[in-house]
Amino acid sequence: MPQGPSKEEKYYTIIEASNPWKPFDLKEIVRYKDMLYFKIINGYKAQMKQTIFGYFWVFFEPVFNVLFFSLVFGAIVKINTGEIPYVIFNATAVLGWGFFSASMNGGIGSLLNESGIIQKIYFPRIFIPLIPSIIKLPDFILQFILTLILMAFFGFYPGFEIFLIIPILLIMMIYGFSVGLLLSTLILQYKDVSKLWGYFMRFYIYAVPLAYPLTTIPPKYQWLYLLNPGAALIESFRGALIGTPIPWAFLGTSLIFSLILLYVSAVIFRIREPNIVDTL
Amino acid sequence: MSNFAIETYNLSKRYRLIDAASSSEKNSVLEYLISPYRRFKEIRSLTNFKENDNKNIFWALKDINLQIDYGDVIGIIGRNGAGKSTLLKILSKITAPTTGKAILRGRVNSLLEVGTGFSPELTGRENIYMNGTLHGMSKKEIDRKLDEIIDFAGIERFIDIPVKRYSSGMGVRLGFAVAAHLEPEILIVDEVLAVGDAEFQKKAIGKMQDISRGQGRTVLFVSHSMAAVENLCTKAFILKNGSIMYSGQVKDCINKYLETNTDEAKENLITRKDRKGNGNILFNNVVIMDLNRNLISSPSSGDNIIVRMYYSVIKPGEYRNCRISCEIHSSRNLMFICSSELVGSKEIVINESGYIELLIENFPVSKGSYFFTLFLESNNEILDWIDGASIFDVIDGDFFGYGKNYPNGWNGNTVLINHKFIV
Repeated sequence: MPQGPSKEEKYYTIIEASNPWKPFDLKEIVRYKDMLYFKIINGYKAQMKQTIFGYFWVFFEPVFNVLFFSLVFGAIVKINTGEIPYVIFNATAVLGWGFFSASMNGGIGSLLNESGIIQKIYFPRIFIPLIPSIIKLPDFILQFILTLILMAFFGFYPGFEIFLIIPILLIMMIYGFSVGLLLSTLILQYKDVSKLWGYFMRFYIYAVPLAYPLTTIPPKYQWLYLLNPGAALIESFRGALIGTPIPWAFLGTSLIFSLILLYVSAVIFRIREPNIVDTL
Repeated sequence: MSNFAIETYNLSKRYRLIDAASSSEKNSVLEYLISPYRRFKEIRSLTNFKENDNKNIFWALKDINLQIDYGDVIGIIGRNGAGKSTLLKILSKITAPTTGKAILRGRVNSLLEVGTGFSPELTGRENIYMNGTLHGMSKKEIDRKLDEIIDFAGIERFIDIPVKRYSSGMGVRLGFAVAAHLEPEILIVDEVLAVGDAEFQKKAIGKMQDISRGQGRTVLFVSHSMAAVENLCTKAFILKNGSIMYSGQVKDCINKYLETNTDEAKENLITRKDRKGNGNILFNNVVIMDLNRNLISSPSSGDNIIVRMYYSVIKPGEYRNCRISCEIHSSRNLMFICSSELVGSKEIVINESGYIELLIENFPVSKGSYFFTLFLESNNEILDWIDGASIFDVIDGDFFGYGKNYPNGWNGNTVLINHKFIV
């Protein structure tokens, strides 16, 4: 029973050798939106199944980090955080850092984790590095509530600046997604990248004002320090929670950097995307 | 406006093969020190091709031109390494061609593996939604077909249980059930009917027939089973070394393929290229002997025979936990499998070239021509796998011990078993 060509123009596929300057196929991305939805929902459900503590694990990492830093840097090294108790100083940064680092870490390993599927089914690959930064949001909200309780215990109540965490989170998500786009395809080919990334992150946590305050940095170098988007974002994040000064200019530069990185990563991803399964 | 569902123009795909043996060689300290640079160049060369660059280049597909009409059900036939899977991967957009172009008119779905993307921790129901949307279905479509899918898979009772608790058969049924309800206009299917139990295979083939015949879909179908291809397809083409060797009506195609198989099975085994595996050990010969180790060319049904499989160790080493299997095929069907993991408990260790023998008592097939397929793996890594390694004839023999054979003129290839009618 032969039939004519599909009336729906959207089901017309041309397959050619890769052309990086072809933009992303937005129609296709819209068509697969339900897949994105289930991938996020199911991915979230799957990570807690058959664990004794279930969602309590969400709190484990920030609590562990805060205890560690408060013990080492607060109680032993006795870092001076002015009027703010070290625990609050640290916990507010750990909350932001947790989201920032997790969305980057999740992004870069994402394609490798899904390599079984990408070899057998086609769907817009760009979803894969996108999912990790979205999937961390519910965890973030739970951790955020815990942090607010901790702050209230010490007599800190957020002001209107609290709404600033929404754009800050958005910038963090752009970073996570961009780093994922850039490195997830590279990791498929060069497995060394994930090892290097691990070392980089171990260093990077000390390149942001998380264990020590910004005032530790000599004033004439502070601008250089804050050009690091991670540092500007964490400092602003803490400001949004407990009202310390927000480095507005550097929040702006981190936004600009994030958009440049997003563009560069998207082009590189586009170049590498059509042949990623050949490099596995 | 052209009227083809699928068109391809000079579709080609190039790969580079990295020689694992050469990249681990280190003869001097200097070589050891510069080895990261060499490995970087090697890994980069996977995706980096220069003009006139022929080092370790392998063209999995070369200049494929196809024009497939709406509603055609096309079988793709070919040996391991002929390019079947590469072609399907390109047409399903999993990997891009190196050169050339393909146009597909209609909603495309490909089923290269059953149950890909199943998450073991999630329930059957959750996985139906996950898998369906991965194949491009919308949530609404799945809502509408959910009952039908569950019914087809026959797993109503287990639908809210994590898939990891399913038997492998249930997983396969669920995977196929989702795929069978995709309703694409162009369906690309790879070997998926080779799984599951007999009852399910029958159901799956029936569903495939519905999809292709009743509903006017265009189907591309790859299978090693000539019976399945003949059953489902109207036309076919044969891929050989990345090119289309022959295309036409399915019957002509299968006959042509079987002819070339017969020719190839007479070739020297070690020079054959149509094999899978890492090649660390290669089969180089297979012979049939009687119990006194005299070569026989044509055994009779019911003979006790020894199949001796010779192999060469190409990359020296000790290969532990070897699993060897020998399949007997007729030109269309698998007759039976002899596999070392099913019988005998001694570990097979190979460390030098040699042979291994397989004893088959009461050789249980009727007269006709048969092929061996040989398979060898070590620690679950395939070393060599070669279809149609050799061809041999079986002559009429007294399998049943009653001095009688099947009547003259009866020429089907069949497995013989001892039986007795109770009267």
